[in-house]
Amino acid sequence: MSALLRQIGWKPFLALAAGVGSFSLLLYFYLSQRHVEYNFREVRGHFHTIDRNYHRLNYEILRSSLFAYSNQDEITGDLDTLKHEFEALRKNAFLRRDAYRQSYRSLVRLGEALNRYETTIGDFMMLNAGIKNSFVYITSLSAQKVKLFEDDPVTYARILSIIAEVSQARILFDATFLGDLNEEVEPLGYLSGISKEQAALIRSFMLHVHYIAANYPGFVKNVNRIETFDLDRRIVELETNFLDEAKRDYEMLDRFVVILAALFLTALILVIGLLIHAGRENRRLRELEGELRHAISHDQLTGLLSRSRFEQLQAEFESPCLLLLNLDRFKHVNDFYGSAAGNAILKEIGLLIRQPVLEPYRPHYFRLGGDEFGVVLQGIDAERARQMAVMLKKSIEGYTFFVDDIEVYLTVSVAVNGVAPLLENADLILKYDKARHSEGVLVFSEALHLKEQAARNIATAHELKRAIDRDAIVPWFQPIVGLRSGEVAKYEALVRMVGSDGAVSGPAAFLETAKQTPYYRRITAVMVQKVFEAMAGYDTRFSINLGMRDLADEKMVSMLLSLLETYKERAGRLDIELLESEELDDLESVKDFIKRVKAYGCRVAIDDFGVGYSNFAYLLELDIDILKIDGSLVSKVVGDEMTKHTVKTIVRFAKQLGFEIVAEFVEDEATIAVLETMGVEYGQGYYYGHPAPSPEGVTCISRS
Amino acid sequence: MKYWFAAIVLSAFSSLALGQEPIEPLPRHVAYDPAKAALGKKLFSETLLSSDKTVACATCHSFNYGGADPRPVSIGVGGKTGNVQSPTVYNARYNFKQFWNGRAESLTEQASGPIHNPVEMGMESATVTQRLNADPAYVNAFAAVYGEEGVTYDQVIDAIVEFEKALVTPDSPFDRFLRGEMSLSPLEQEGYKRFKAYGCITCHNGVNIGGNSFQKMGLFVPYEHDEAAPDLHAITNKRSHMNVYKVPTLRNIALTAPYFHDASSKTLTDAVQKMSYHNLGVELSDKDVKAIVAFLKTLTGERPEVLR
Repeated sequence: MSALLRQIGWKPFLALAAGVGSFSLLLYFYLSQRHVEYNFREVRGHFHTIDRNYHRLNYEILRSSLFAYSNQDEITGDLDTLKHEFEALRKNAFLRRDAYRQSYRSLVRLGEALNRYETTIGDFMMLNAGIKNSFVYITSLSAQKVKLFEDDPVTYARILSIIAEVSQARILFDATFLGDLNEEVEPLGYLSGISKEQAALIRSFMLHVHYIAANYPGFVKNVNRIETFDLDRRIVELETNFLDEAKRDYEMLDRFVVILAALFLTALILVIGLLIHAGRENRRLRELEGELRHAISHDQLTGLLSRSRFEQLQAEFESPCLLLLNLDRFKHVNDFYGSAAGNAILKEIGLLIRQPVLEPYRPHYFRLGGDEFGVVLQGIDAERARQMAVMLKKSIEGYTFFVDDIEVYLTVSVAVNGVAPLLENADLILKYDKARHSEGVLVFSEALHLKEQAARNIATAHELKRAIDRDAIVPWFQPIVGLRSGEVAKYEALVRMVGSDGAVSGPAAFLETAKQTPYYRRITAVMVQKVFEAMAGYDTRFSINLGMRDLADEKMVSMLLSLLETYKERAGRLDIELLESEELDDLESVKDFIKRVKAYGCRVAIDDFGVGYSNFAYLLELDIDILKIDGSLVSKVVGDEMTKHTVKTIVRFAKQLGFEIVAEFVEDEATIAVLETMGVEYGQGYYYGHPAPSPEGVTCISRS
Repeated sequence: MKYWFAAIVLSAFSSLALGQEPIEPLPRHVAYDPAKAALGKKLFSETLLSSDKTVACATCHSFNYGGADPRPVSIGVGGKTGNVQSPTVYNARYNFKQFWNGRAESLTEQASGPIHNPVEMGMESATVTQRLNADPAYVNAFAAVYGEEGVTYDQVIDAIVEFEKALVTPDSPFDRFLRGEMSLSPLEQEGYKRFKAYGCITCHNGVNIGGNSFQKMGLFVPYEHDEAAPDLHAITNKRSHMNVYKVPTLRNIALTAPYFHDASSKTLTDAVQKMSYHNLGVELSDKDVKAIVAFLKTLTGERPEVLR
């Protein structure tokens, strides 16, 4: 889990948190905004209802004061609504918040005003009934009956005058026009001798006039008070305060929006940043991947395709033909001039092999190994491919490489192979080619049986291993005989492998293969050990064979030296035959070895002299005791004058240097005779005896 | 189309005509919860609601006497007498305030008054619920209506109020006259005219023909003031509120004798004369009184649906 977290990293979580955070804030904002909006509307709705009802109420009151009769349900209903709305506002939790303190104060004041208003209306309604009734009585009911006083013009006129006065005040809605009604009506109370009906009229008339005189000024004031009541102002004040405070509320929401927007933007930028970062990272990774892919598929140094790329592409080639170029002895160039120079040369070769004439064959250029290049051509016939190989070989060998102004020339071996597996077959032919040092271009064909050879090598290696396990590596001995005396002078130990079927095979069958395996050292060790053991009961000298190259092998040398140390007495009788036929790389190690073995009393022989790299020069350098003339020369001493002269020269030369001379392949008496005349002292060969498992078994044909 | 147009114009004019009259007919049907009202109806006649189990709401608001009390003063628990004549419970929902002096703003407020009043029913709320909860029939009935176990005082009041809201007496001859469904006799019409001309209408208007304002008893000719009377002065203590009472409804007035808060008039004729003398400042002729009384008698409506 934590690993996963580490892999994902904290950034996506940050973005997620920012996203969730801003979303919650958005939601919170939406809800609070809706809350404010909703309450704002509700409160304003109440305001409007109050305002509307207040004005309607004023209208109703005015109406009620003007009309003789009206439905007072309207007044009580509107008042009820007003009170109801006020209660709703008073109970509104929104207005009770601190932010609306001012509004609430206004509301309380409105409530107080409303109470006063209600009281005023109550007073009005009570007054209104009487005033209206009096007006109606005076201006209509009494006016109808005033003719009762037709006979009393003074009273008649007085009543009419009062009626007119009351009417005027009523119409003008102004109590000041009433004059001193009480005084004016006073004389009516003193009338005498009037009828019962007249008296009733006068009683009622006076009652109403008195009432008007007493109450109309108050009524007018009351109505004016209602009509100019400051409830309006209270409502406006409340609304103003509320709008002010709501504005602050909204401003707070605005600030919130700004913060929210900032947060949201931050989150957005963060996400964008992350995306860009991720994109960049992705691109970088892709580039890296490309580089890695290129690195895998390309050789760093030369920029050619790599060996692994070759493996990949192999399946995709159409009728491919591989030209495998191996630089000869490139190791020496590297050792001699340094790897920097070597690399520069390799780079140049990488360019050199890109020849335009190859283009039609859709070429692929590979560096397949340290000093190995490959060119895969497609759709080319074998002959043309061989020509191309020759061309490439010539271009490289004809090219002058420069290392610090020093000219360097290279030779190259080229294998041409169109048979799968491409590289393996080309390799085989190349080894074969190198071994043969032919013209340097060889075309692989099944006919060469290279594969069978390889299979045989493997079989041989297996056989070798089994032989070692079975202790079937044994020394056989061949006598070396003094030509003059015909007596055995010493024995040469030869390695043999006894097969599981008892068949005995000589070194030609397995030694070359053994040298490519770790068994070689073991075989050598076993041989030397066994030879020493076999020679325990003899006092003759004996010899073993070693390759000069073996002497560069530290382990081999120390193993031999330890055996010499073990068999000190016998070591004094040991001759070591160095096989001269091989190329000698490290003369110093050979000299060193010779010096060390001579300390044990060993003598040193050069084997198979006269063929291969035979070289008189190093014979002088090395502290040699014996020279063994190669059998191919000895066998032609009789009959071939040229060979005879060669051998004679060698013998003369060796004698002058004081070497003991042994001739190999001595098979007849004629040869012995020639050798004797030349001065050769020892010989070995079938004439004297075939190699046998023990020195005793050697058949010795003495020359009488 | 033409007929529709005519109908619309007619209804517009008729409503205008109605609107001009200061008296509105009662609605024929009022909305109320029948289950609650039925429960309230039962409670209205329930003597368990009084301390000595002798008095129910209906004792003083008799449906046989226009929802009022024929006795000058109601008699409460232990034979105690009240200080005011019981007003009618009919159409009480249309009063702008309740009680003679309007001390209750609503029926709900009003309903508890008589229950708690020591001279009326003399009960504590707790006793009311205790008694009702002891009666399985009530417990079940309340549970059926309110969906809760156990009777609460609020439920009791609520049920009674719901019943009272249903106590509307529609279709009086006058209402039907206003709606143009019937005509009144010439005398009755004359009575209505005088009712308006002499100014009765200034206070007795609206749907309840009164009940929407306070007025002083003895506006022109002072009326004797009884210190013990429950007038507005008893609440506000203002001198100007002496003898001020809620203007009573005139609906079903023929059924609710005796009249006035002090039951001082036994007949309508007397009541009209007294009222016109004190509050209109006129001395009506017998003819006038006769006509007005004839009009007042047209204000008797149908028995409420809930009682039928």
